[in-house]
Amino acid sequence: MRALLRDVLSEALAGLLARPSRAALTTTGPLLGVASIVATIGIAQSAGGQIVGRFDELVATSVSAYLEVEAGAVEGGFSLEDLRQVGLINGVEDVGAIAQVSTRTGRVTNFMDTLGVRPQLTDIYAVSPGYFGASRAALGSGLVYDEGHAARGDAVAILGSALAARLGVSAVDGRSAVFLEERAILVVGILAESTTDPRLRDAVLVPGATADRLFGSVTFAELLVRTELGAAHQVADEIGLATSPENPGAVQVVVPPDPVLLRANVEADVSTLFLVLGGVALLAGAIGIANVTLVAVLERREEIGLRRALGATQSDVASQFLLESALVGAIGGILGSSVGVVLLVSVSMARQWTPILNPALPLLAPLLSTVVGLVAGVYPAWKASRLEPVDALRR
Amino acid sequence: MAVIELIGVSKWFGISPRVVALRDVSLTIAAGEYVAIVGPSGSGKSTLLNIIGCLDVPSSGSYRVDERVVSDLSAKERTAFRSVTVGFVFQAFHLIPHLSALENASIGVLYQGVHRKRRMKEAFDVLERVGLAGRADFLPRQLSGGEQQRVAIARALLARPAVLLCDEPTGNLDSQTSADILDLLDELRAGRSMTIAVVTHDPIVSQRTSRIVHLVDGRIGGPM
Repeated sequence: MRALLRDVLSEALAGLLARPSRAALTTTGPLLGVASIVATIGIAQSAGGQIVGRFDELVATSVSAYLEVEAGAVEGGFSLEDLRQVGLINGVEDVGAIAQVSTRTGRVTNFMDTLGVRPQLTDIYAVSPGYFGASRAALGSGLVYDEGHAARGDAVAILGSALAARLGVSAVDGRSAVFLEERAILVVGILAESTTDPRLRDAVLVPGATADRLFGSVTFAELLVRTELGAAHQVADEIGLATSPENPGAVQVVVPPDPVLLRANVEADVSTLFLVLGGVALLAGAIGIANVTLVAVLERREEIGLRRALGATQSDVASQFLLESALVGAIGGILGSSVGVVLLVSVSMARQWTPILNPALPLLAPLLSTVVGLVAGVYPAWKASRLEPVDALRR
Repeated sequence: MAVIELIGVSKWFGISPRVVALRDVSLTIAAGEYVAIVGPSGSGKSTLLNIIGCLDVPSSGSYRVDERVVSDLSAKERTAFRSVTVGFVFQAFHLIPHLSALENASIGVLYQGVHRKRRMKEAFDVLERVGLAGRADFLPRQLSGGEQQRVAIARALLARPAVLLCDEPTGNLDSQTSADILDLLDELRAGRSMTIAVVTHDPIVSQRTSRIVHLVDGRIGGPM
């Protein structure tokens, strides 16, 4: 004769509610375990999602190419024709070349300071006109020199914002000029403060032909390519062929990291560590449930004996205690799942993320916790079912 | 109604030293009889009652109820037999502290698979018969000793057992309450023909039964 499952369930619930504070404390274990698991997975998913959603457009669209001049694979560096060829690749918006000019002294003075009392030291870069577009460098004042200046090798220059400040050149008015190693050069523009490329901030930038004429031969070994969004990898694959068809391998290409890969890495790092912590908390919770249920079995010997006397089979008694421990797991799991979701949303709010959570997770987590509770109850339930009614009823 | 037959029943506990609780007890209780089992403590009264109630099995000898050899049943069959045939009333009441009087009484048929609704209805009817309808929602600790024993009797009666076994049913009660409980038993016996066995050492209890069985050192002795 077996009691109906529903009736055993209500007996188990009544047994739990008889000691509410103990039940609440026992519930804390699975609650913490499930909460940390749900929050961890949710935060990892959200963090991964943010990297994709908020990735740096500037980084994602820039491709750099380096020619291994040292190895002697290609003579003479990137030519104007190479720049033109790269500019023809589908998805390329701007392309520019840059090379540091070797100087004797690097001395630069304001044109107005004819006596040279406040000389400054600087780096000089040969920069093709297209480089300013490719690096998205904005001008704070004046204009960018153009292809005409570059072709003629005019003595024009653009100053980095930091150098302009050191020299006391605040704005370009058509008469601004500097002495660069004793040669007068017209300043046509000053870069904006916001320039991100650190090399450009404190340097004099001149066209390639100008550098050739004034300071000796310059070899462009570095290209910067600005691509359309999403075209970076395809463009990178084609730069070598466009510039060095006979030996594409001589061109080293640096591409932005693939956002999809980045996401996978973040998830793997964060998840494993905290999942282990969540698992440990759940295990500790299970041991707690087992302990408390075992104590309950010892305390309720009389009740067990009575139920056996009234016709409860061993499995009736076992199911009652199994259900009690499973209920603790289930309640802890439901509360823990809720706490985990709240944690995830709080963290997301603090970091201004969009919370991302697999909807199956908060549904499956309480199930996992219920199974943990059930397993934790096996030993105490077995003990309870082995009690002889005669012994249990003896006071 | 049931005829209870014990034939040469012995019961011992442990192996060495072996403690013998019952020695070669033969006893027949006719259907509808009201028997008191009396004797000093340690005489084996409770062991005898446990064997009659199928809470325990004899070490030797045979025990039959209505010609059925109960002592040979498996543990599961004994549980089922107990559930249908026997009702228990204990000295310590053994009410479950976190359940109300009504719920405690309703456990009497819980393990026979009776639906909760029907259980509650029947339990209420039985509580009414033992005069506790007004206390149905009280927890055991809110009830007096006599009331708790009434709830326990209601629980025992719920399954309509053929045999009612009472182990010192008045042991924890004062004399007035004891008398009330005994009156209740008489009343219930009149309503339905039940075989009742009461273990007691209280002469007030035993003198109200139809037969007294004396137990001394695990043996049945003659009437005093």
